[in-house]
Amino acid sequence: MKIENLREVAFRELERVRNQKELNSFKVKYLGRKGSLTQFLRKLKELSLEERKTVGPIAQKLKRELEGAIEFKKKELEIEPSLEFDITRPGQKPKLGHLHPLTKVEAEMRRIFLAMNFSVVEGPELETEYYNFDALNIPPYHPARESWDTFWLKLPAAKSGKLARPDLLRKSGLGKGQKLLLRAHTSPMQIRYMETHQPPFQIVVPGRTFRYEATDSTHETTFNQMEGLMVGKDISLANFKFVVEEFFRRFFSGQKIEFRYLPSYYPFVEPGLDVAIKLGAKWLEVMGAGMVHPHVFEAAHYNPRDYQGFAFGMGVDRLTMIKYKVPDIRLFRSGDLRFINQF
Amino acid sequence: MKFSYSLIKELVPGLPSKQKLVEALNLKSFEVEDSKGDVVLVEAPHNRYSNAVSHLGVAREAAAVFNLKLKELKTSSAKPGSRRPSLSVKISNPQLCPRYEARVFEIAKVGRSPTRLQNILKTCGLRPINAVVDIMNYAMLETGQPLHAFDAEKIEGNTIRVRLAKKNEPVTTLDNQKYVLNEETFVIADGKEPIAIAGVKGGKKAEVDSKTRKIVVESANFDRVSIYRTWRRLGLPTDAATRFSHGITPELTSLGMGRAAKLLEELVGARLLEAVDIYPKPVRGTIIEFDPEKFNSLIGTKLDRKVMINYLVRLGFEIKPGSRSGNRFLVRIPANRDDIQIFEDLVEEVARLHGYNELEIGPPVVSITPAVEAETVRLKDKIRVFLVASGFSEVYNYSFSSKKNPEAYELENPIASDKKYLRTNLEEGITRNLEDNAKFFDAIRIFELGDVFKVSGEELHLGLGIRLNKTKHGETFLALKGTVEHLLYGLGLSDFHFKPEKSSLEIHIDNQLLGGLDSRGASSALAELDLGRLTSYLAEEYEYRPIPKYPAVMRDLSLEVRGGLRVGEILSAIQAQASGNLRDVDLIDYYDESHFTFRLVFQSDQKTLLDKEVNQELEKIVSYLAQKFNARVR
Repeated sequence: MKIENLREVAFRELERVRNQKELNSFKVKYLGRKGSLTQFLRKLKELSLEERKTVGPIAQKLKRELEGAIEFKKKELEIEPSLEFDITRPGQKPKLGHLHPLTKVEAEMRRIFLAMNFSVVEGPELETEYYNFDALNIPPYHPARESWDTFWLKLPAAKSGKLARPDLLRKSGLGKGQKLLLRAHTSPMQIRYMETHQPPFQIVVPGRTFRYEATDSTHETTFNQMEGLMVGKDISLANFKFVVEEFFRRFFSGQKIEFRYLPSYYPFVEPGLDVAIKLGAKWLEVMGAGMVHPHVFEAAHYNPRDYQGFAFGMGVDRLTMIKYKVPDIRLFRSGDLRFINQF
Repeated sequence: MKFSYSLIKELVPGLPSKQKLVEALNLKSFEVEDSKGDVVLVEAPHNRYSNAVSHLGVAREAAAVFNLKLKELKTSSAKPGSRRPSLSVKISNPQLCPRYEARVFEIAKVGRSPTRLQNILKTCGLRPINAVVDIMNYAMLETGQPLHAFDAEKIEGNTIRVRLAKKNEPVTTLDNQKYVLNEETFVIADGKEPIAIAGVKGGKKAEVDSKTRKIVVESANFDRVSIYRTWRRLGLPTDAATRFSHGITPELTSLGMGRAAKLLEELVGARLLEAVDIYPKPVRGTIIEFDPEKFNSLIGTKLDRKVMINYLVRLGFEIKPGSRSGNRFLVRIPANRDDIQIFEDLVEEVARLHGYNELEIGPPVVSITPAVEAETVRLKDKIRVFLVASGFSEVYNYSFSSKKNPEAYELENPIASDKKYLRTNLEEGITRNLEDNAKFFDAIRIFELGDVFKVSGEELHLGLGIRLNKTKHGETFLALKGTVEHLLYGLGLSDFHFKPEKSSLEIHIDNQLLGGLDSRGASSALAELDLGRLTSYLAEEYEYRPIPKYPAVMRDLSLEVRGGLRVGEILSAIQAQASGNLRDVDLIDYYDESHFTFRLVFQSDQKTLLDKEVNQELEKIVSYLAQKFNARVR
């Protein structure tokens, strides 16, 4: 066989090689001890010097070329080990569940505050009038209480002298006409936390809250809030502005955001204000806040001359609606997986 | 509450446009909203009814904000002509009526009020009636003091009694509504019967009409709580009731009366006959010490004392010289600023007028005591991570329930008849979620973390639900059981066990009931755990064990047993009988309730187990099973 023929046959055959096994046989066939190219090279000795000089280098070159081509083919086959299946088919989805969007957003809020050294605590949803109102400087029979439309509970009859929540009873003097309710905000935890901790501290309190309210796309009987409280010797309103702007910048990172602080009235803060943010063209009120009212410190048995601090509260549902563009608050507690699985 | 921009502007002549007023008040005073025509909506703060919920009050704020001059309202300076008043006024409960002013006027005629006045009433949402009634309302809009006019001739006995109603005493109000009162209701009565529900609504009996020629004007102050309870009970949230129930200063009655008298003189030619003012304990303005250093510390500013004083003066506070130490000074609080009770209230006045947006921003400087997350928060997070990775999605359900239950709290004011109780478990909601979603999904795996409420207390629960269509009997339940087991292991619990109870399994630890699993037909299963009871067992301590050096030997054991025997019993028997070399037992094939296969794994950490040794152990187990359960190896 002529060397040119050999080259043509070899390369055509190499093209047809489909896997490593075939490639090995190919290698043996041409470059093995008894391979055709090896034989050919051996036979060169038998040729005349003239012929050796012309054919020899060509054969040597072919050997190098074949070795290179085999090496290349080998790598090619490694990348595409076999064509027994179609790699462009959709991947198999692992069976994963979905977190509720409110959980996701609350977790993100907690993460940001934790990064700013705020501890995360929780409190009871079943509260007393004392913690929900009185201790927060919201007097009985005051129209201000109507800002917190409240679900009241019928007091269960004492059974064998044992009544619910002895801890609640002790602190609030339920016996003196105090009533049980579903907390209308997370603020009762301000008092509860301060009763058992000494400043300086900074906390956030996520949790479920309740309002006796007709529901529509923006109003719910049940929604989640996050309360914040930072108390120390010299915690100021300037500090509040810093913390709150840091929070919202991170929460809405990547979006242009502006802040506006508006005077407002909450009996448990003085001064009291609302925070509005501008995302895009719209101003959105997202937080009520202020400096902790001295009466609130007194209710928690602090001397208001010793400490100062700020408190704030915001709606987790509302922030979730803004962040994920959810148009209707009622979707959150619908249990509809077609909604939840989007997050 | 609706306000008239043009009336405010009358009081502050230099006032800029309505839009500018709205914007400035929002930034410096309180919530205000622009509305149609002349209307400005003021969201009055609950504590400022004595001084801001009136046109004069809003004008005063605007004047302070824009640093403009305020025009004071003109009041009457007329003195009663006659000697001793013939009208007798008696207050039976002075604590419910701190002040009662009454003036008797003779009027030329009760006509219609001027158009301008009527327009302002309409702007503010009030209906013009006649000149006298309109003047009462108009003066209230201006000053914030509720006023009422009676026809003096219709007051029997020329006597006004401010007293509590008698039991079931009736009264007919101006709008011809009949009310039966109780003994807590405070009324204005004549010699015989109520002629008004005090501070809430006037009565029909002494109504001013076109023939009225002599009137008694009332400008009084009533106890906040009493009025609040009365209007709530009667369902009468009138303008006056709203104002009184917020608490307004008794000092305001004289301004209201003086202004009404002036308007009566000007518009209906009224002539003052008599004046009564019962005000046994006059309220005096207070004095509060202002500490500029403390201000700067609270607000985080470096404002100058002079700037603070300037803001306070603009708001109508008087600075008293001769104050005590250093930078501090005394501030005299006018009686109508009853919202200012402590230093911090004054801090707000200065800070807001300066502008919250203009205040500095600065990071707090604190010691870096590590922040911590509450145990419940971390536990819930761990559970969520595990369950989401296991294919479960999280739902939130309402805390309400329709089910009456001896353990359940009942709501006093449920929002709907199917939400009368508080939930005592998560199961109810999850069952509903499984049903609702079945229309759209073949395989549903959900969980909820939430509080439930029992008379014995509030508990944090985990509820799980699973619904798998097209599965063999039992598979759904076992899938959920496996999830719960591995969740508990993952949380660091190892000593728990399941106790069968009919179609459900109870989960126990240390003789404590943690929760349970329930089979609901072939396709559904539910589980619920009390996480509060779980927390004390969460050790999650790991300790290294040597990696086995010697090989494991496996034996499959196919058994035939009588029906009705539970796999759990056989498993426990195998484990109880085996030596320490039995590493693991697993049910690998379940043909029917009488035929199944276990895989037993033997391994020693001392040596390589010989076939002979393993066979001996297996035989011991088999003969035990044969003896105990009459089980046969197939």
